[in-house]
Amino acid sequence: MAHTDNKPIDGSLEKPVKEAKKMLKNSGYKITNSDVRAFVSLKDVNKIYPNGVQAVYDFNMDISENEFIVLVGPSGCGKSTTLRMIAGLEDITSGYLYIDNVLSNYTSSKDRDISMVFQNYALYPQMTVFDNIAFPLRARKYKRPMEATAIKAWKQAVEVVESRAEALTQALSGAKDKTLNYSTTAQYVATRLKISDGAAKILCKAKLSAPETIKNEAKANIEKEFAKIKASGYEMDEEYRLLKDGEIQYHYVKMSDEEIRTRVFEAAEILDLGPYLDRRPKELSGGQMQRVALGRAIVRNAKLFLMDEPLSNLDAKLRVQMRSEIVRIHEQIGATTIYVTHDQTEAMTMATKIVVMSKGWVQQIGTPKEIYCNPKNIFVATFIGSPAMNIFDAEYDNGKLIFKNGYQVALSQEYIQRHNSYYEAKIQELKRMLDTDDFRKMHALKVLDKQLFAIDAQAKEASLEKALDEIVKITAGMECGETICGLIKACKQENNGQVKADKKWLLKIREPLLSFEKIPSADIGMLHNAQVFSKEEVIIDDTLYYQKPKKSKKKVSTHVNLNSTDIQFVNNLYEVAVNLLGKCENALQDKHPIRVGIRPEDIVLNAEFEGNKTEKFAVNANIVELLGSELLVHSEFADTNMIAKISTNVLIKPHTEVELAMNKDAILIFDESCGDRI
Amino acid sequence: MARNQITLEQYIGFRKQKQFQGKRKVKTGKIVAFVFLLLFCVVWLSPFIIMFFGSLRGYSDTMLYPKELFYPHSGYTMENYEMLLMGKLPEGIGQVNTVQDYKIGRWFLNSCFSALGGTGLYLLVASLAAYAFTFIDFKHRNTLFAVIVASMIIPGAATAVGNQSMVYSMGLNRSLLALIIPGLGGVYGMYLIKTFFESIPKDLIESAKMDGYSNLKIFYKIVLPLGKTVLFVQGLFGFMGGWNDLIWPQMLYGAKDNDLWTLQVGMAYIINNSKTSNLIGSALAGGVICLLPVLVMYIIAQDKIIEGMSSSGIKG
Repeated sequence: MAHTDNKPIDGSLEKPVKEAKKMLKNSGYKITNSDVRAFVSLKDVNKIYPNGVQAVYDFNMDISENEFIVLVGPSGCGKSTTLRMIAGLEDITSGYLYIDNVLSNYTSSKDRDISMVFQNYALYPQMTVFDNIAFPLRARKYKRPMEATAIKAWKQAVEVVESRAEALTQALSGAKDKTLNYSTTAQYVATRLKISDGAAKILCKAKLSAPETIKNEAKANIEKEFAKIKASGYEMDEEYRLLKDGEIQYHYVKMSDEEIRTRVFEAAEILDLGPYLDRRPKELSGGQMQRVALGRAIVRNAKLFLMDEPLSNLDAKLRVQMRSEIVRIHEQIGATTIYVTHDQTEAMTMATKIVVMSKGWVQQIGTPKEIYCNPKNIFVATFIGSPAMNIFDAEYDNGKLIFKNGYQVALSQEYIQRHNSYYEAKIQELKRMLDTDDFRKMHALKVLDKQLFAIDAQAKEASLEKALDEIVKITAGMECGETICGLIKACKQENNGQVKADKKWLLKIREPLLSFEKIPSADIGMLHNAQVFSKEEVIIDDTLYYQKPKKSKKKVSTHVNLNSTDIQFVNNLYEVAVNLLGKCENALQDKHPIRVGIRPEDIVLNAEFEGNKTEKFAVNANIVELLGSELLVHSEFADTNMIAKISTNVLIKPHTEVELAMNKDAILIFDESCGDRI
Repeated sequence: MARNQITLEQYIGFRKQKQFQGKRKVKTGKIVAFVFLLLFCVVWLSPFIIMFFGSLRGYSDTMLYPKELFYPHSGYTMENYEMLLMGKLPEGIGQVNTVQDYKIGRWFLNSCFSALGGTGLYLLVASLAAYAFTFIDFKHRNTLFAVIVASMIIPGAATAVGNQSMVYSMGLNRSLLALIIPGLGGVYGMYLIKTFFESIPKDLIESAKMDGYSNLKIFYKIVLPLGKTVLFVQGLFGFMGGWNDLIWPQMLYGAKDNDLWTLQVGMAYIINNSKTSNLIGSALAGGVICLLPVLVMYIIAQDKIIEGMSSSGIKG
């Protein structure tokens, strides 16, 4: 709530620098974007820490009002970083953040009108609970109508003395018993009689003196105040507001004690904190501290709530209780909430929309049901759901799944069709990707580097000519291709039509290949997943990592310059892409390995389940866990640990044979090499 | 079980209890340690005791009967104090070598100004600097801090002359402010306060920032109340340092008129004086006067000092 009510300007306007500077200053550095419809919108947000670690890659999300968003993922996946970027506690390296249609990348966190609940509560140990909750209210000035407080106070005092004398005596005697840290006698009386602080002060001072004296005093004082107001050119309406030329006058003031009190009491009532307002945080239990932290967040009526793993310090039972409490508060207040957790149960139960993250990449955004039933890839499938989904290695052979132990499942026509179209689409996409300039450059680099770093000198000489031809072929039609052609020609002229395997000269050729355009983030994301989720043990290079540009020119590996962030990153993207393409092409023709996922509750007792099920199979129940209404049966199937969730109608003893089957409609199949769901 | 019987389980406990109730085993190690501590205590305390009793003896008693430490020949008198505080010179003692008057009251006030004012100002400056170094991210913060900490290796005596000429060129050569100003750049206290501030969870500051508080308000409302123990400790250190400082005030005002002297400069003068005129008692009385405020301060603040020291990790 800044003091100036500047109107934000459209960010897409094109203006000369000087004018832009002026316009920005006039608008209070507020910029809007008419394309942004959502309440909170993140566009291609990246975060790279100063030490070169990239925590968040191309985060894109739109959040509409009153939503409850949960960011979920294993620790270190960048979810807290994202939250801290929204809160303004962490700089955004690149990308745009719009809050309430205003570009907020560079606004300080206090101007974003956000309140946040921290994992460790962040309560001020030296203050009482009351002061802790009231703390955010005391920070700023608020727009309020000007009031004639003195007149209001005297009139109210007279009113109380005249008509509520009994209540006054009660309140005054009651105040004696209350030795509360956060309120004085006058404040107690004011709250009890619902009058302003000023009136309560007058009454406390006058104690129980005769009503006549108070009335006389009031009369004199009111007249005096009236004269003052008239002298300064104001008028007063029935609610003691000051008017000038018939309009209510506003000014920016700190929130009055009365208003703070009512607001804190409201928050305390919502959170059931009434009896603890007088205590200090260290005298509270964990759950109570958590509630105080929540109270501090809700008391300000901020536009946006952020919660950073608020429940992870509580014990299991309290966590469940607070979970429903938070959902209840969210429903009551309706503020947009972004909630970070690593607990998938919390995500499933609380969210209206879940964002699953892994290693800085958003894996899937959707409602809890969507994410549970239609996981996009193997990571989401295994992360969401408890116990986790069973994943088996199997082979796909013309519409049949063959498990490692020879167990076969014939897939329906629908599955086969989906399988084929998935791979066809994938091949097309990869071909398109490999045909872009950047990937062609990378290809050329690979060929060149082979020459450059070959150890055998003789073989090098022999194959140099061929390699150069190949490079020229690859780079034909591109800008750098022409330069390379020129370089080779010049060299040939000097050396009588021969090329020399000179390292310096080869590095010169390498230079134009090193400048890259921006590779679309979706492509990098796909290749990233292909590396992280593939089952292959041997990963050729490291996984994706970014490097700060170093001053020394010694660069061995491929460098890509992302325009937006101006950093270089080292990778084997080309090889990964080619590898993936080969596998996809193979998948369409031949039988190929595949991964099969099935949720524990979809593994059923053969005898009981009557639906579309697979052939029965017998396993030895190693461990049987009783969860009340369900049994968890751990067993071994196809060399993999398998968990089945079975209702307790049938009692299964450990170390006995069980006949199980799979619900055929619930089988999910995942691509072996990039983990995507087919 | 009959009423007067007990089980064997109970009996074992009963016997054990009885064994230890009567005579506790005294460990020789503890006795040795205790004796040692007592010995050192006496060694450390004895100068103070001698000083205190010596100051209560007659003018020349100390010189004439040096062995009578606690039962003076002249009986207990306040002669020495009277001489220092009221300027009553002893009769029949010949010429006393006083070039300058003793102005204990004036010196006391000067010392108070230097010690209290210096401490207060230093705490303000140092805690603000510590706040900035801990909670505000500015460019080259760590480099700057390293440079400042590195400056701790320069001994104070080495910079004294430079400080003096600086203070003089500021036109403070006849002002008591000169006692305070160079000390404000001290690093040790800032470092101490910073280490304590670092233990305050960053969440608190971040949360307050999101609520819309400015740095100065956060400092005043959150960091200061939480860091008051360390400020107290540093305040006490500063006070003691300011009170006991001799070299700096001596350098500034030693050769000038004694209205600007601090108690320590005056003390040095009294001791010097007493050597030539055999008035050892007056020197001892001066020592007691110097010691008293610090002692009173320590006794009042004892609990807090220990609490602060343990919480800010200082040993000693």
